[in-house]
Amino acid sequence: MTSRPAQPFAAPKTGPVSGRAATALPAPAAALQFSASLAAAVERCWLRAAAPAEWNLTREQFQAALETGAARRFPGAAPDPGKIDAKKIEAYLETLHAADLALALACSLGNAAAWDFFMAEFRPELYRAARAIVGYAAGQDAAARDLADSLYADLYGLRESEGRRKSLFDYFHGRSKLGTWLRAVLAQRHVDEIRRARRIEPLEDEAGEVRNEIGVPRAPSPGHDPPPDLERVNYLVILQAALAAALDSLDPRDRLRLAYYYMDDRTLAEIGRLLGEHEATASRKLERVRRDVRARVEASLRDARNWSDAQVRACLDCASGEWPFDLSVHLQSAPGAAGDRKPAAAGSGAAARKI
Amino acid sequence: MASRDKDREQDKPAADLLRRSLASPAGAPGLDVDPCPDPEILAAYSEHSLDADETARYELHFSQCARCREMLAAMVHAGELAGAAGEKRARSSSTAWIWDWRWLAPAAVALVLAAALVARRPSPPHSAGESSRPLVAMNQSAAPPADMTVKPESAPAATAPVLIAPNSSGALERIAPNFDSTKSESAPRAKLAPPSRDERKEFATNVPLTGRNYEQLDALKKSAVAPKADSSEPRGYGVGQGAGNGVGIPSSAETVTVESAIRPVAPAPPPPAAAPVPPEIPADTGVGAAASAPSAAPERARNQQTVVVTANRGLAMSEAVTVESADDRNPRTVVRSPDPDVLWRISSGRFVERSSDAGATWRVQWTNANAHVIAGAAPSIETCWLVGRNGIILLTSDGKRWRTIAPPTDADFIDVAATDASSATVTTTDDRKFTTTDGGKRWIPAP
Repeated sequence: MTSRPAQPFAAPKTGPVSGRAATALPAPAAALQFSASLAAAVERCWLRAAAPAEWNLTREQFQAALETGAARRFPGAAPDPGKIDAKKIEAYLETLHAADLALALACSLGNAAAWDFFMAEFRPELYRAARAIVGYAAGQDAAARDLADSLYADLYGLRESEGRRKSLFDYFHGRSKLGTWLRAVLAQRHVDEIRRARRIEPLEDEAGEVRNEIGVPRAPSPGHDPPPDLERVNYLVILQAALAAALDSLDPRDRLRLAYYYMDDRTLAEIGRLLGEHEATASRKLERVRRDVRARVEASLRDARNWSDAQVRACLDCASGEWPFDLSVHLQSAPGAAGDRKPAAAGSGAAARKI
Repeated sequence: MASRDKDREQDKPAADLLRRSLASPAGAPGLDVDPCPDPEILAAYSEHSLDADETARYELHFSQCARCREMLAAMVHAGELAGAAGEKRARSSSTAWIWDWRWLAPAAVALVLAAALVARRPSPPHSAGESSRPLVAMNQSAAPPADMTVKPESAPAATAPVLIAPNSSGALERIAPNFDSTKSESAPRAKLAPPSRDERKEFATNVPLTGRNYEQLDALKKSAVAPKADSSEPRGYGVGQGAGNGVGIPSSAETVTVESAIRPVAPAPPPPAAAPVPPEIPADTGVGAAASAPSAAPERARNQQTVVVTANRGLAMSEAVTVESADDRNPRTVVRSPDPDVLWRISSGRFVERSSDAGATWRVQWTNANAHVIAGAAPSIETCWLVGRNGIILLTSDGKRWRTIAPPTDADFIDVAATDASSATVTTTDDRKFTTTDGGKRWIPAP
């Protein structure tokens, strides 16, 4: 797995495989047949690709790859392309990184010139990315090399299935830059490796922990009668339902923001980078989301359950003396410290759970 | 950070409640979490190139999927490190060119051509005395060596040999076929450095240019300005010409050109003569050069050569492209980025070159097979817009790879102004303007 073929082009190769046959592999759905009205858009894509003649790429192969990609993008449309607006497909075609797609396709078809070009262009970048992903600790160079090398082998398609080479390139449809895609593949492999290793270690049962917390009587909050345990549990169940509803009504990005913060323990700086925002923006938006969630929870308790303000307060108080949405005060005082934690450390606490 | 961690500890019960809520599937009951998206989707997401509904859909998934979030974090980390490393590497390679003497050959060709242009120029009727001074002054920075020889001569007499230094007489009898050395820098008497040994025979008519010595072509046009005024007469071949003319009046204009061209080059010791040329290029853009150069010069250059550009695509693939002769080519344009070290220039329709060391070295970049680029704008060191004929709009946002943007019209574009990789305004030859704010997905006619 870790050995890159020294002579990638020495491997047996029986002429150019038809584009459709090669690229149809990753897509379980049948390739979308483009209607004639899309011919102009396909032509533009083909021109954008500007594949050099040495790559021996035909327009038909290219179109087949486009159709496979479109079938993946619009999964419902495969049997009946009429169901999808041709305009949508056209817009999709316009966004493709056609040149990168042509390169991936030519490599997948085993063209030597394309491989040379790919190696020259992307190899240093690939090693750098692998080193960045693996090498949080020093002395991880060998691991980084292994990670990148394993990718080469799969890109070239050492695995054969049903007598045909399967290249990882077949999974690239031009939706991103090739370099970014390679980084994503590296990241996926690395993360899966780590998660596999982590699975062997016992995980703490967070859910159980929470249930214990709920069962434990807590100190009464001043000004309110301490609710009996049963009532407290009841409150928490109601609260959780309201909270879930509030989270579901959030903008997905805001929900992701909360997940980064509460589940992955990311710093504000990291969250900013992940969402493409400045750290200060990330901080401000996080605070806004928490206010928002709290407002929605309170509103839903008040409206749906017809609770009085006092009841709402009691419910919130019994969830916790330190309700998370009031953390903004503390947060503002310490944004400068953010960013110095290694991302590898994150996610080890609460988050290693996938639903 | 410490206080923040403490916060997370303190509100553990509530935060756990929140975590449980976050981890539960969102949306209507029965709507399960999607399977994790392909790496390609993650890649497109991190490039912000998914459309709005896809972004929302996958962000919802990410918010419930720790695996995807970890992958995104790893990608961001890798992207940042890789980007930083790439920049550092690019910066470390400056000044290497000075040790690479190969540039001398093209430099010499350039000077020869310059002189050729001068010599063939028809004499304007005005007197050389006064008109020469401003021109010379203007080009002082562009061609210092030429200047040094010209200056003393320009004022006294129009009859003086234009570019011939006092010690040049020995070089006069040298003619093109005798070139034997590219190491002319070692000879104080400066035999002319040939463009390359193989191409000697084509020397008079076909001057091969690589992407690299385009800059000398520019320099040549510029240095041609200085002598222009002085060589205002046919006898501008100079007193030294006596020998050459005595040998026999050349019947072909080509030959005259070359012979007369040799002399001006010879006197200047090559290293000082040619060394300033490459660094000077960025100082005056191609446009500026074309504007200040006498209009006669490019016209003359046109029928003198076919230009062959060789660019290296990757390791094994090199491709020779014959571009139209110079009359069809646009004045070569240097596109500046905010960083003075980072420049692009349009070397032919299909290729551009990028320099990250203020023009000392250039890397050829492939743009588009059909491109005929005319103008460009670089709002940052990694972002550059190029426009050209037949609706060509190209954009790079990583400083390396170019993508073709769907144009608002198929007309020829002659200008572009850009503020970043998403906002730009292009101008057609008939002065229509189109603006985009989303990287070229939509174009709006601008007033």
